[in-house]
Amino acid sequence: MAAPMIVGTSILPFTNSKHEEEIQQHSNDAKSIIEKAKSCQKNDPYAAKALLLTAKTLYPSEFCVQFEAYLVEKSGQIASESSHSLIHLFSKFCDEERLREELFLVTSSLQSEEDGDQKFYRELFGKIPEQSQRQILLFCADSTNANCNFLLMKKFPDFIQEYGKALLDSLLELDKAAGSITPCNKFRQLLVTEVLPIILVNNQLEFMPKKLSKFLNLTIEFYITIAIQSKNPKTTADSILKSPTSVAKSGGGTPDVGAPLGTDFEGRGISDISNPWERLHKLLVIVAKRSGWKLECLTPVTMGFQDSFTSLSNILHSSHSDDVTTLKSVFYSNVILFFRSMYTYFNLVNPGVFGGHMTSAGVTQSYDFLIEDLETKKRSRRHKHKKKRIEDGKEVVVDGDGVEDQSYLSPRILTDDGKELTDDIMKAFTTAVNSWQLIASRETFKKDFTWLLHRWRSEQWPWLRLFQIDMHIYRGEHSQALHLIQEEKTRISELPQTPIKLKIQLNVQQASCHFTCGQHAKRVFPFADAGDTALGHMITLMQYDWPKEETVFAEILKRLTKAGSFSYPVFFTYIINLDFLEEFAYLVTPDAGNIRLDLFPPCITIQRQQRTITRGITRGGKEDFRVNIEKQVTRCEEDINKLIYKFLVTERDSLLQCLNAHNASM
Amino acid sequence: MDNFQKKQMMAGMSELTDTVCLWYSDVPKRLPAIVLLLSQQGFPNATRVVLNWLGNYFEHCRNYQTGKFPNKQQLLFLIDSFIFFKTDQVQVQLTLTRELHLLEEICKHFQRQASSSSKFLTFEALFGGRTIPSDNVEEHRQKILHKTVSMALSLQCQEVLECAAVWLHTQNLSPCAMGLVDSILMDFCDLLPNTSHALERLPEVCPQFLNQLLPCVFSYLCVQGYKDEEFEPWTSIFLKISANWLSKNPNVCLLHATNPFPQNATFHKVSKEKSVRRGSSWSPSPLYVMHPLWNLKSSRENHKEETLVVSKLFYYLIQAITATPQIERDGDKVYVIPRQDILNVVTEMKRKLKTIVSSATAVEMSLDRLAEAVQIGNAAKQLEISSGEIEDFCEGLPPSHLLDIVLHSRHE
Repeated sequence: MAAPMIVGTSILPFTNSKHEEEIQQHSNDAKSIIEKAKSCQKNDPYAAKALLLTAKTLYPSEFCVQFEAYLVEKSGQIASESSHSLIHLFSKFCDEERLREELFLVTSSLQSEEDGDQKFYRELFGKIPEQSQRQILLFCADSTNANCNFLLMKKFPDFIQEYGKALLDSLLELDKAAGSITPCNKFRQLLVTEVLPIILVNNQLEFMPKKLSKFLNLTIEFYITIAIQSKNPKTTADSILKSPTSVAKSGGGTPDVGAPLGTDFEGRGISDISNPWERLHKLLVIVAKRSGWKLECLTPVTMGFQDSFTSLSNILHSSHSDDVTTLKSVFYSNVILFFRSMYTYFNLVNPGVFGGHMTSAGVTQSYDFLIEDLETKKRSRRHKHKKKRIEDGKEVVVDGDGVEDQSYLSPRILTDDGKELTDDIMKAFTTAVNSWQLIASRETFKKDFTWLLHRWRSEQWPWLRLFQIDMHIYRGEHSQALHLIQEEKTRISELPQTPIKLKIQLNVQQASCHFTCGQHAKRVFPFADAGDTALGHMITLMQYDWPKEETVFAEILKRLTKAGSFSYPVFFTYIINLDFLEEFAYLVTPDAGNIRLDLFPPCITIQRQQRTITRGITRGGKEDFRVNIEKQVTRCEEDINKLIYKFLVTERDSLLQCLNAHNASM
Repeated sequence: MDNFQKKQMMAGMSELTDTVCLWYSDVPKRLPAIVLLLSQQGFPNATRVVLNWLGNYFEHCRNYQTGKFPNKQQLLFLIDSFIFFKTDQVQVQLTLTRELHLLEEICKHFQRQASSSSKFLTFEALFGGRTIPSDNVEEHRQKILHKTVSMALSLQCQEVLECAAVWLHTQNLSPCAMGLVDSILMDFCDLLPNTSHALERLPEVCPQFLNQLLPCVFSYLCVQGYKDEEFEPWTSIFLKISANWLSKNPNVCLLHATNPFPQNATFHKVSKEKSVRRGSSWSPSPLYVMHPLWNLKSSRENHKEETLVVSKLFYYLIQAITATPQIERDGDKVYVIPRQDILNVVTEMKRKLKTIVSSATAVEMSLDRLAEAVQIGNAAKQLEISSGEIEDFCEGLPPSHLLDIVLHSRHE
């Protein structure tokens, strides 16, 4: 047997070097045992374990040895053995950074439901005796780990009184730091989904009303974002939800803490936070109880939109203006109802508005729809069935029975194939409109809501603007709608990836607003850069309410004269207006400058190549043109509605092409 | 038999019970009458009566001086006659049915008996004493013992197994103990390997028996020698079961060290001369797993599976040692690895390494296990050996880096 290495009597000047040699030898020995254990782990795992156990007792103060041994044990995926080692490590080396990281992994796994490593960590923690579990959680909590703080309280509720407020403050701070990027950060999620429901029900802790409102505001913001993000699984840079700044930040190495949640703090995916509206309602109830608000105002999620609104509206009208407990309840209930109904409305008609889906048509099924302007109908109904009365100096619309008309008329929402959409959509939409109206009806509500929208940075919520556009159109407030449409168009033009479908929608809405305002043709295609086809389509459309767009037509003629040519192969299919026909008959005359007109369809053009209406026009060509113009004159009594309908259906692709060309040039 | 006769017999039996239990001095004179009455009872009633008497007898013996058993010869006579059916040195061969019936009666008797001390003494009175089956009679007795224990294992009869554990302990690895081990291995691992699941539950049913059985089995395996190239097929089965036992409850291998049987008087005098194991006082050493012969054999290339199982056994052994708290008994520190155990292992290792040509891997593994046992025992303060002694003893062993580190560490 080799002689054991016994330290001999050292000469003083060499003590240090001898000592260093010993340390080096010590370290080499430890490494050799660990290496040996690793090498035989595959073929004889128990021999490896025996070696590790030996190494651990040989070098009880060496963190590296102990930790390596733990890692080898962990790789064997036996939770009970690993837990023993972890407890040992924790009891002796809790200052070691690698151990802290490991403990963080273990405690973080506790709220995860994932398999693999997370599952193993959960098993490992489960094998640790309860007293040690407390100590580990307490240790991690002390290390400013909010999650551990929470776990500590969840597992051992007796800690709530001691640590509850500190945890809330800590989470608020962390959320504030991370919230500049997104409200959907892991701290907010922990606060809203886990901590508040536990801590706020503990009556031993007292909170100021202002603080409770703050918690509720943060919760509403969080769940609105969660609900919307659940419709937008790829919260990526192309998402229209994100503001340009947030896109830039997330693309540029945003710190983890504030990054939008792909998976949350507990390892759950965002989509795993199910029923956000129900969760939000539960927290509203908790806050209302703590704040002493009227609980009967809190309409449950299961109640229909319209019933909820009616209930809120009735409560509001029967309450005194100084009844703060009721007003607060109604306000928050209504705000939540507004967002929930608006969310449902968009979710049914076009979930793409919540995410990047509108960048490419057809990714999700959505409807291109128009909300019919009901202003005319509204007025006519008002005459027939309703009357105005003056209450408190305000004009109120009432029906024949004297019941106040809280809601606007149900809109007819038409899909692109002409079908009417479901009742649910209308209910959701009208509820959202009514809720908005209710907020606007009281100055305090309006002020609070404006402040909330400001706090929530609602300018980054394009869907809110889209709703406002729909709402204004619905209410016949076209100029406001046009203003918002223009703003939205400006915003999307700054996005790195153009959401084409949204642009089309905005253009159509813009067109319909202009149409209603009597400016339809003017704005459908930008006059300045329109091609012959677009100009031709504009002329066709102008026939609808001729001579409303007379000045525009005159401008078009000037432009044709200047260009010297005009090609519109479907001219004889759609142009039947006498004034137009006369003007075009004049254009080919020498007085007008012999404008070269190519107005026949391509096949006819080929057959009549020799007779093309051109500057060197042949007699036969002129004759054809004249004959066709005369034919068109005989059609001038045709139903213009049918003609325009046929035009829109037949030339749909061509119209969209023109719109796209226009959008692309924007 | 008419009612009058029955009544007389019952009266006689009652009187006899009192007589036997109180052990009047005239028992030898009255023995023929007792035998006559028992004979009239026939099997199994007579057997049941004698077993009950035994229980009562040992209960009453508590009133006497410890170790004093009055009318011992008469009692042994009744045992031989009505339990083992020996008459005038001739063994009556029982039919298989009757033998099964007898085993059932024995097991039921132990299950019924409340007192542990009289239970152990009854078992010892039945099966203890002889170390070598010297005749047919003794052979029959041993056979009944083996079958009783096998039945108890099958039926998970804890009471019988507890008695068998004490019996094994008193046997000190005697040929009788080896005979029982052989019988168990044959029954559960060789003849009917599908019944090995009955063994698997042993840690829960009777850890004391398992604690005694394990070292006996490993000693038995070593007694089989190094000569055979291959292990018997049942060896692997038993090894796997053992590894599972220890993995579920590693402390079972240290049970006797931490919680020994109370020192009870024995009915028979135990002879230790023929023990297969060297050393005067025997207790189940936890180091049986690292018997050098066993280690060298299992480390062969063609015994990979066995190598892994032995590694597993050894790991759980040292883990159990690590987890064992410091024990004091009667003011003295108790070591789960007594000095003698380590010395035996080292001595045996030196001897075997001289006589057996082994692969470098096998030698390294054996030395590693020795180093690990020394280190773990030392770290857990469960090793009863001085630092100087251990190093002296290791002189002459082949070089081992791990053993060097361990021994060096002890000097620091």
